[in-house]
Amino acid sequence: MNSYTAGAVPAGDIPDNVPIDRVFDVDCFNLAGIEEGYQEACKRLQAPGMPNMIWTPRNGGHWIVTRGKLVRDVLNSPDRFSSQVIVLPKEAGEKYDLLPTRLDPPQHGGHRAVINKTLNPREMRRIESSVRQIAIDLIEPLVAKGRCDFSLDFAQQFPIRVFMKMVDLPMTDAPLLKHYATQILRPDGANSAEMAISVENAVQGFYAYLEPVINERRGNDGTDMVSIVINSEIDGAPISQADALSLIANLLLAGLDTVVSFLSFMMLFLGRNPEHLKQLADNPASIPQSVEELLRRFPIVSDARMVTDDFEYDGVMLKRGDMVQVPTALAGLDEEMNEDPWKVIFNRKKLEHSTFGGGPHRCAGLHLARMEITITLQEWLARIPSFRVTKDANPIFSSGMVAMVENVPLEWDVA
Amino acid sequence: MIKLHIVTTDGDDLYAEADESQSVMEILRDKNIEEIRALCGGQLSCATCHVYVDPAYADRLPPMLAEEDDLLDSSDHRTPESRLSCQIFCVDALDGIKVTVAPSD
Ligand code: HEM
Ligand code: FES
Repeated sequence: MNSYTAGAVPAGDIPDNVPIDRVFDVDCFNLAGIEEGYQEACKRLQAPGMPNMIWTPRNGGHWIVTRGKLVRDVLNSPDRFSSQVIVLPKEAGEKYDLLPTRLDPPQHGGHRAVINKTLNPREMRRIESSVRQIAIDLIEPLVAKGRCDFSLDFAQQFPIRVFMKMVDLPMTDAPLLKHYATQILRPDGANSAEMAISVENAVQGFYAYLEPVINERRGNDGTDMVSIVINSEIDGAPISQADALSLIANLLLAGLDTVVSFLSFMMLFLGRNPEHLKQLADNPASIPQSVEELLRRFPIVSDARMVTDDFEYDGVMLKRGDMVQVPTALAGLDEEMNEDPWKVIFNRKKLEHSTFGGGPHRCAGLHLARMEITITLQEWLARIPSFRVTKDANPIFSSGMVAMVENVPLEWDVA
Repeated sequence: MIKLHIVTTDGDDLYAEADESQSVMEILRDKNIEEIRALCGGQLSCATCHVYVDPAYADRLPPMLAEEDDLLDSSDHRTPESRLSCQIFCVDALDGIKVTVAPSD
């Protein structure tokens, strides 16, 4: 079965404000067709005849926008679609309270300004050579091996090391912080109670690790990310310890899985498409511009917003408190936004995507993300210009707030 | 169609014609001006399309969004005449506009 059918769910689960022709059985944590690929599975929600706005009884019951223009509109309308809860199911999302993610304007602005100070293009220029060195140090030992598990050997190592560099903490602590991050993002546990304990332990562990660092750097003129955050003011008052911890935790968490996932999708594509790979390897100067097209083609984030009031939207009545999922994949891959959206065309004249979200919460780390992606391609292709996905590879895709592809084994000829 | 006068970082004068479906960034990119890398393709998220606009045209430009202001702040070459060229579309009111390419950061 290649498409969804309206109304094919038990009727009892459907609230009064939801017309039956908007109801589809969509499990965002296990999308139909996910074995073929994450973006492909998302795209089924945009198949001809699908309404712009659909509702699923799964995961607490929520709306999903299915067209690029609505993805944009929802993200750009924080007064109607709040970030107070962005994680599904809503019950779990209510416990997720990282800054500045869960704030709406105008409160959002002050906290956002603090992190922008650490992630703006000028800061990126300042750290570029150290980020490049981190990539080189990871790639060099792989070259002679002729093969690797890209996700394990590179993608999972790179962003955490970049974070350690940006917060100016010892590289030897990277595994510990990565452990905390993993337990927060994908907690161990057989049920939700056990998982909640794993998250709580990891948050406490991370804060206990960070507190002495924060205390030591308060009042200093350090240029690392912790010093910049802790010595900031929000709306004229020094930032509180709790807010600083929350911001730094978000800076750690937001830049890990996203980058691991994107780099893995990208290398899976290049390892299966030798012509595209050759275009980049033969013309490294084109890499920086080409990254944007890859970002358009491989969107990975799908979080949610909470409806602030009762109002009509796309012909349906939304109720205050309703959740609306916003799959960013449905923007860059929408034919209404980009011609031939499945094709990777490195020199597209015009391109539009929402891979980094949009509106006030648009990814604060997008300059860093672009730099990490660009540097990965530049340094990888300079050393391993030709590679392929192994014949027996069996990449496993998963959907969720951040989609993943695991098992991306690459091989290349060693001179 | 309007006429554009482009001044490169070397001080060379270039001329172009464009219509309102095109941004100044696209015109500069088509002229292969090295500094205009336009990495984000015009989505107001990279600041690699920086130009100085002749003050004579200042009051005919679209207002600057907060995002543009922020991005320009992270350039080492910002002046009061700075704009991101992907935000300026070649509408009739801008006929004859003179833009000077800013140095790369
Ligand atoms: C390819 C990699 C990345 C992708 C696709 C991505 C995507 C996104 C998206 C879609 C959002 C918006 C979420 C929402 O509106 O609810 C976001 C927010 C955010 N991202 Fe990224 N991101 C990436 C890498 C990074 C990196 C490297 C960092 C660095 C620390 C980062 C930091 C953040 C932060 C702090 C926010 C919250 C911004 C706010 O709420 O104002 N991201 N990201
Ligand atoms: S092209 Fe990226 S900001 Fe103008």
